[in-house]
Amino acid sequence: MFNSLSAIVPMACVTAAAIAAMTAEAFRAPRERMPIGPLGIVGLIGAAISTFLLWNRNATSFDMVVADNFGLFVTWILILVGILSIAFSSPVVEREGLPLGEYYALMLFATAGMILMAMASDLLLIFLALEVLSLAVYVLTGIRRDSAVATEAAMKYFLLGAFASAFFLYGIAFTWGVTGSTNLTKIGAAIAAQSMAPSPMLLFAMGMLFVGFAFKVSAVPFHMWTPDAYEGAPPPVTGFMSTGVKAAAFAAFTRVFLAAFEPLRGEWADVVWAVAAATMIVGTVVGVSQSSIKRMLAYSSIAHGGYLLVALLAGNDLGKGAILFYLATYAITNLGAFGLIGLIESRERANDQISDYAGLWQQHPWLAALMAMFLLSLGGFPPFGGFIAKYYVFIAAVQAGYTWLAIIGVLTSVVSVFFYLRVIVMMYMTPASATPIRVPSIPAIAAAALVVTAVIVLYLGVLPAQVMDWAAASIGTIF
Amino acid sequence: MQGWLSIFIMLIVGLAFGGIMVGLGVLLGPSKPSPEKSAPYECGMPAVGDARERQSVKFYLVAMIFLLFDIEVAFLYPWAMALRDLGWPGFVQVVLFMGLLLTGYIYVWRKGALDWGADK
Repeated sequence: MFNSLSAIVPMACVTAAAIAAMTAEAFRAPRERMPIGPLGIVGLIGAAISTFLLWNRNATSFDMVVADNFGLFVTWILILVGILSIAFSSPVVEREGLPLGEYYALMLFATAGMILMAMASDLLLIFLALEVLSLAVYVLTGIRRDSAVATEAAMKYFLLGAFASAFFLYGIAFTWGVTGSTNLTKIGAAIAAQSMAPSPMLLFAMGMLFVGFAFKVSAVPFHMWTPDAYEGAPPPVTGFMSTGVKAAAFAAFTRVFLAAFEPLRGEWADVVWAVAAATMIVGTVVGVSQSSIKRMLAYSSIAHGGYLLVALLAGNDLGKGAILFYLATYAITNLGAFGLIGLIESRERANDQISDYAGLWQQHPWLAALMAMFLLSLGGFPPFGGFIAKYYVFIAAVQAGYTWLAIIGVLTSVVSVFFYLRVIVMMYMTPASATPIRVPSIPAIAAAALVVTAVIVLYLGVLPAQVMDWAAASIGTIF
Repeated sequence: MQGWLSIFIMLIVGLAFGGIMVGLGVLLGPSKPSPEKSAPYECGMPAVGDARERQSVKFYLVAMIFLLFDIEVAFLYPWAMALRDLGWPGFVQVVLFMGLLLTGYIYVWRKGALDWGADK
């Protein structure tokens, strides 16, 4: 019995840490300070070690959880996202007076759900994992209970998310009705057997599943909740959900569409093409007109979802590797940017307008330099990770014959540089306003997280070969 | 589709009959409204207030906690029925499940969600 449990060890570590955090909160006296964040980091490190030990082993638990290299690679990204989010959260939790134990417990539960989603090989389990992570993230979005913006954001996210989940579940039901199974391998076999003439019911099911995934990765036209939710949540939570949720959803998306539904590629390719193009264009064009930096980054993250869809559509070996590499780069960079926004916010002032960043360079040269670096990486400048990631995505698209999509991608990428550069121009070339941003001392843990993030972004940009090899190796195990 | 025709006719006749009766009443009947006549319940108790009152949020909390802990029984009965077939692995799983629920219970209790007194 016990050796079949090895595949669930990573999420068990994270869940144990989450439960410990919850229990600690139960026995915490009001105002008592407890190291609950570090406790969560310990759990996540345990998960990272077990993930490392599971590499190349292809462990399976319950015929539903598959710890193949693909899932493990995404799990590493998710664990890194979890650790960095917790590190970035500590000053914000303190400043806003957020409920300590609940905050970290929810973050850890969400991480466990994400890891499960990346490793699940059964549609029902994917749905369960999706719900575990979504419910935790809904609450995290509205954790600033006294803020009207946060409550509105959480409500919108919850209502639309519930709809999307219903779509997804409906898709699962129809898939089961047509193929007689919820197991991805069996579904794939059943579809391959009848791929010459797929039944309309199967196409319907596929469409429903696509809507569910497209909502979670905030692809146009299912992106409406994104700017509001990202703006209302505390910045570290925004960083967490814009990277973790996206990575987990893309992992499951890839598994379902490139493995189980691969025989029907002829049917879904055009839809994904259109959605990817719309996502890149809308994300970029609307992002240009934003004056709040959080909304701007929200639209930028929509556009990045579009680039990931391009890689998914390309679907060749290069494209599959590019998805993983892009996810890793995007996750780290975006987390860094939102972590920094969280540090710059203060209790009195939100400081989330782009104009608030005027002259940041004079007050805080290091913060300005790091912010510039993250934004340039998101925009796809060498020598940062974002450049290599975009390069691989577009090469993959061209090789797979999607030249026009690659052209749209490059053009939107150029336009997006406008709004990233606008912040940099604000920070470096505009004189500071009468009341410039004053960041109080940055706690060591958040500073360390910033440094780690910056180093990884540089490493992925300068020496991408090693990570690219890992990504390619992990893709080989499932497709 | 043949069998549905009679139901369709039935629907049409029903709608037409109801419509004609109500229409005739409006057209031919005298109309002399008074406050008593236009009250929602013409022959009942007079309304004492708005039905949309604020409820204490504690009701929702208790309902939700009840749901959560009620579900455990739904898992325990099938396990009890299959106790001998599942053996020790099943026992370990159920104990783990109960342990998790217990943690949740401790949390709910310590956080004061079960206190029904006045606000502290």
